Amino acid sequence: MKETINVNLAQQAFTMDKDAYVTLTNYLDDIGRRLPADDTDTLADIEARIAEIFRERVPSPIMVITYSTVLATMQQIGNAEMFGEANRPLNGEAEEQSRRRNSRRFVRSIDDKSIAGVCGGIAEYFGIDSTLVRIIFVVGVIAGFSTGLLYLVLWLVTAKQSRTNTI
Amino acid sequence: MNEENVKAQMRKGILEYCILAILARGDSYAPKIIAELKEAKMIVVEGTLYPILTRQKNLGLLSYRWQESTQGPPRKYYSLTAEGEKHLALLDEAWDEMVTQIKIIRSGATAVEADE
Repeated sequence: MKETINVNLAQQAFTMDKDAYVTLTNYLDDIGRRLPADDTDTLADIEARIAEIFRERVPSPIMVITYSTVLATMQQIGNAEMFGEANRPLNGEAEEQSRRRNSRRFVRSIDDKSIAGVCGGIAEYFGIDSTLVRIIFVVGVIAGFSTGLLYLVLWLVTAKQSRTNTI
Repeated sequence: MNEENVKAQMRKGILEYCILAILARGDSYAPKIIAELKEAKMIVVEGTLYPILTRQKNLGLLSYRWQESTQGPPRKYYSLTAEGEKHLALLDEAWDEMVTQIKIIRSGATAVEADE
């Protein structure tokens, strides 16, 4: 005995096994995030086509859409990757990414340093080349800006990267 | 690049042309267009078609209307717009030109003697 779920797919009612439902939902989500943000037609068209294929494969409305029917249908439509690169992360991924972003801290680098690792830290934080940051600092000092002072202040106020962070 | 890959790339570009050419013969709906393209071995999976139809519709080359069907829910019938017909004529011209040029190149008529 298996648990089933009733769904409305393109205004048609289907009874699906739970594993079939989860697989199809993930598939449609994956396609959706690969389509341009302003494209609302394509996903609806594909859902209508999937409903049609379900009816062809399972003509009786009292029969349940199984996992194997969903897999065969997905094969007929094609891989989600075919719809291009994802432009939006999946729901789970979005949270993971924002958590990673929030946990990012500005620390002085212990691997990439000439003096105290301030430039290396800035480069790491912004994801740019540390040499570029150093050149900006040195040019700043030569040109008479107070980047030298800024360097000393950053040296004093920022923590050194901890060893465990680098692994 | 292997042969399959080259074919896939060519098919992709030509697919848009094929859709317009099919609709020039008369209005049609997605599953019927799919069947034709599958028959002609232009597509393997069905999903390829839908984003192209949407894009062509948004470009004003196609329009669609809902039409009742005897088996099941209403169908989206696509037809070529005047803009679409104009675009198809351009593609026809470009295609013929390209085929002619490729024939010439393959025949070796354009071969240039090396200077050495």
